[in-house]
Parts: sequence; structure tokens; C-alpha cells
Amino acid sequence: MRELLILLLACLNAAHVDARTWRYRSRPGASLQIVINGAAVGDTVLVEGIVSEGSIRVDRSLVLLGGTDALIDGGGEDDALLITADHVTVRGFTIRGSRRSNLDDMSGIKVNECRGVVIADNFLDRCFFAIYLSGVKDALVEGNTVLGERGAEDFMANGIHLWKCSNATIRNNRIEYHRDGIYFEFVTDSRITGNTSLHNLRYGLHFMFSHRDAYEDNRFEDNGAGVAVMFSKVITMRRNRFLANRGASAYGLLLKEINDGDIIGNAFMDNTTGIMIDGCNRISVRDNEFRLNGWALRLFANAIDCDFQGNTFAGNTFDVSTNGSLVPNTMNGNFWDRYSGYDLDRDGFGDVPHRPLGFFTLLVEKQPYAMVFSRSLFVSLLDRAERLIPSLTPESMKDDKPMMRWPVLLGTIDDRVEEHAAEPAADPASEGATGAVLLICTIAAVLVSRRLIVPHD
Amino acid sequence: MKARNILFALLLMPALWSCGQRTPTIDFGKAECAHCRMNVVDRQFGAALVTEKGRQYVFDDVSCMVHFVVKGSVAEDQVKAWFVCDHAEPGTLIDATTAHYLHGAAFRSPMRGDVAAFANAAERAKAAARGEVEPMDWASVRLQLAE
Repeated sequence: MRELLILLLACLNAAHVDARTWRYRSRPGASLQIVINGAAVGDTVLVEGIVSEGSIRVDRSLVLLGGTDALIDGGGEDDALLITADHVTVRGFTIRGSRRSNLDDMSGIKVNECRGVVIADNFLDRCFFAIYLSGVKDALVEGNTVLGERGAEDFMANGIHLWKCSNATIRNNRIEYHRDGIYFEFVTDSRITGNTSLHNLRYGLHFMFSHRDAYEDNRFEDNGAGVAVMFSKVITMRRNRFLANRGASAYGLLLKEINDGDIIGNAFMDNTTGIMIDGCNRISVRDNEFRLNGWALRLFANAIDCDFQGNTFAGNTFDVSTNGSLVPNTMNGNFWDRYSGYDLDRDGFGDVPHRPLGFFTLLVEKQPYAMVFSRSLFVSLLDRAERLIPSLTPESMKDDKPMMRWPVLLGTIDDRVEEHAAEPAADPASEGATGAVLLICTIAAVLVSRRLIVPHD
Repeated sequence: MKARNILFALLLMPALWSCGQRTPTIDFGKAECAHCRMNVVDRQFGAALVTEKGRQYVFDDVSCMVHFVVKGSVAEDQVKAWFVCDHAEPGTLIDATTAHYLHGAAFRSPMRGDVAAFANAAERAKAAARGEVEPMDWASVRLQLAE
């Protein structure tokens, strides 16, 4: 029995020994391509030093390990590293020098038509596309740092780009200064978790025609817009942070023509528009925080069966805005810092409904230039009047069970935002002075209006 | 009085000149597509139209421009001029009605219209050598993309 066991172990060892490790150290005359071409399936190639022999091609299943100062410089010829075989691992390299070409989609690491590739812990330095997967199944892209060229985002393509892939995992990467940080086109059943996507020209993350994907625990900050989900189905979005995406056409999250999405537990802060929902069906928006945005939520009238529950709206200029009257969506049990109702039965929910859609919001949606009157006395008076006697705001757009207290924060807020939130408390003296000025202004306004109304003889 | 009128007319003239039809400009990276709301960033596939009233709309893909009119956001007879980006000279807008087009999967445009426009036929022939593409004129591009 013992002999048998030893024999078995020996066999295992032999199998193990079969996969060899090749060590490549750059020096004049050495070629990594020749080492790769000489390696057998399953071998490991340990690379040290700078490889600058142009585009490197991997056409068999290998593990490429980056050792001391491992750098692959494509020298501006095509893709720096092109992978066309199953189960290739690329770990620990710095990669640069892909050709910039709009016609041929050149990239730092390109993977074509295979499965099971692992791209981990690399640094992609100013590549046109950085990591480009085309027709790849079961890929893992993890722990990479992807940096475009600051100030030249116009001429960079996407950071991590997936085209017709399935079952991919994109985890713990950091992407900056590209066109789109992460781009999914025709990608199904994939997960994007723990990534940080900053300073990208267009979107931090972009879905097109992709279905059954999830993105969770990511951070999207200061991009042209945070995330755009377009023409896709069944997308799950949980615990992401959408921060400081600002500009005339900037959104924290842009949803266009998508069905069956879940948006749960995210934080939207400091964006021009938190979420824009255009032409979507069956979107569930639960337990999110909308704070300090221009518009927290723009819900177009073509959205159907969207459900908003347990969200916190605080400190936004506009909480909810829409462009039409027919709004077949539900909105219940949210917290609104503008709610001025009461809770006599003490069940934690307000006894009178809250109408988040103000008169001025509607006005601005129809006449954007009316924005110059924002926060003016007249507008706030009109808003208050509309709240007392609603005549323009849609009847269906209301929260019947507004929460009375702030829900427990979700722990998705970072220090930067807390800094914002800590606004100086108004001291009573200045408040009194403001009150007096307001009173005088009102009396003046009344006098002026009387003067205007009195007919001249 | 007369001198003042003339002066006024002179002052007004530059303003009137500027009302004439000009090629629109696309503020790449900041402009929003009038149809799909995406930021317009791709200098090779952008498009724009000008209405009879002089209003300009920009698009990130020729297909967005065609759909915009097909869906009636602007009526067909209100369109005064159509423009597309020259694929060979990224970012340059040219007259869409006289441009030379190629359609095919070789071009991956932002909204999958996959149509590239060229100002001259020679550039188009050069790009067509890449294969998997079909030459088209403006009328057939509109038919193709309107579906």
C-alpha cells in the first residue's frame, strides 16, 4: 500500500515537473518571442528587464510572469501583447507602446477568441486601448492599474474594453484618463466589482447591448458621466459610489432603454444629475442615497413600472424632475429632507403624502433658462403656494409614506462627502436678521405690487 | 439722423452676416447627442444637422441623426443641412448629402450604425480595401439606418 502511494506521488511529481519554468532576462540579442515560441503548453515564462522587440504574440497556453522591472514596450507597432490561446496568464508587467489607431483598435494587451485568460496586477501605461478582450469566455481581469494620458483623453480609447464576451470578471482595477473606463459591448453574464474609475472623458463604465451583468462596490468619480447603461437587460447595480460627475450633459448614472434593472444601496453625491431614466421599464431603485446633487432623479415620462423605495433625498437642488404628466411609477417610503408633514400615529412614516415634484422643477424642465430664478424669493413663494394647492404638479407623483427620520446611512460615504455634509449651523442671531430682511422685502414687494395694480387716471 | 441710421446699419451688419448658414461645430467631449444622450467623443463618426430656423443638433453617430428625423423629433422638411464627420479627417464636418459612404462591421461606431463617411472617393477606396464593407450613397445610408 505504501509503495503504491509513493508511486502515485512520484507520478504526480513527474506530471508537475513536465511544466517547466523558463527564465528570460533581457540583453542584446535575446528575444522573448523566441522563448515563447519554444515553450510548451503549460510552461511558465519568467521575464525580467525591458522587452522592446515590438509586438509580442502568445499563441499557446502559458503563464507569463513579470519579474524585476518587467516591461513590454510595443514600440508603436500594433498591439504590445497579443494573446490568441486559451488559459494564458499575464501577471506583473508594465506594458506600453501600443500603436494609436482608430481603425484597428490597437491595445496594450489584446485577447482574441479564446477562453480562461487571466490578466492580473499589470500596469498599462498610456496604451491606446489598454486591455481589449474580443470574443473571450471566462476571463479574469484583476488588480490592474490602467493609466491614459492626462490632457489627451480625446486621443485615448477605452481602458478595459470587452466585445462579445461572456462570463468575465473585472475586479479591483483602477482606470484613469481614458475615453470610457470600462466598456461592455455585447457582454453577458459578467461581474464588475471593486473597481475605481476616475477622470475618464466619457463614462466611468459603459454598457451597450449587454445582458445579465452586475456591477457592485465600484467607485466612479469625476468622469464625463459616471455610468451609462444603454439598450441592456437585467443589470444589477449595488453599493457603487457615483461622485462628482459634473457638466451640462453629465449624469451619475444614465439609463437609456433598459429593462429589469436593480439599483440598490448606491450613493449618488455631488453630481449634476444623480440618475437619469429615459425609456426604461421595471427598474427597482431601493435604499440609495442622493445627496448634494443638482437633480437627484430625472425620470422621463416614458419610463414605466419603476419603483422607488427606501431612498434618501437630501440637500439636492431638485429631488425629482419629469418632462410629462403620465408617470405610471411608484414611489413609497423614501426619506425627503424637504418633507414638512407630521406623524401623529408615530409609525415612523408621515401622515400626509409628500410631493417631491415642485412647481419650479417643472418650469425649469420646460424652460431651462428659468434657472436664473433658482432660490429667489418669488420662486420659493410660488413653490410654497403650489405645495398647498397643487394645480400643475402631477397627482400620481407622490410619496404616500415618506419616512420621518434619516435611514441608517449605508456606509458608502467617504470622508470627502462628509466634509460637504458638515454645513455650518446657522446661528440664531443671523437667522433673526435674515428673517427681518425677508419681512421688509415682502412688505416692499406688496407695496410695489399695489402701486402697480392701482389704475392710473 | 441719416448718418446715425447708416452707422446703425454698419453695426448691425456683422451680426447679420453671422446669421448665414455655417458648418456647425461639435464640442467633442462635452456635447450631448440629441438622440441618444451620450457624450459625443468619437471624431470619426460624429454628425450634425441644421434646421430651417437655424437650430443645430449634434449626434455621435450618423444612425442617431437618421433616427432623430425618422422619429419626428425634427420634421424632414425642417432640415436645412446635414453634416457628417469625414472618417479620413477626424472631426471635420462635411456635407452629408454628397459624402461617400462605407457600411460594415469593420467600422465600430458608437451606436452601431457602422457607417463611415468620406469627403472624396479616393479615401473611400483606400478604406474599402480593408474588406467587409459595402459602398453606399446618402440615400441608401438613410434607408439602411432608418430600419
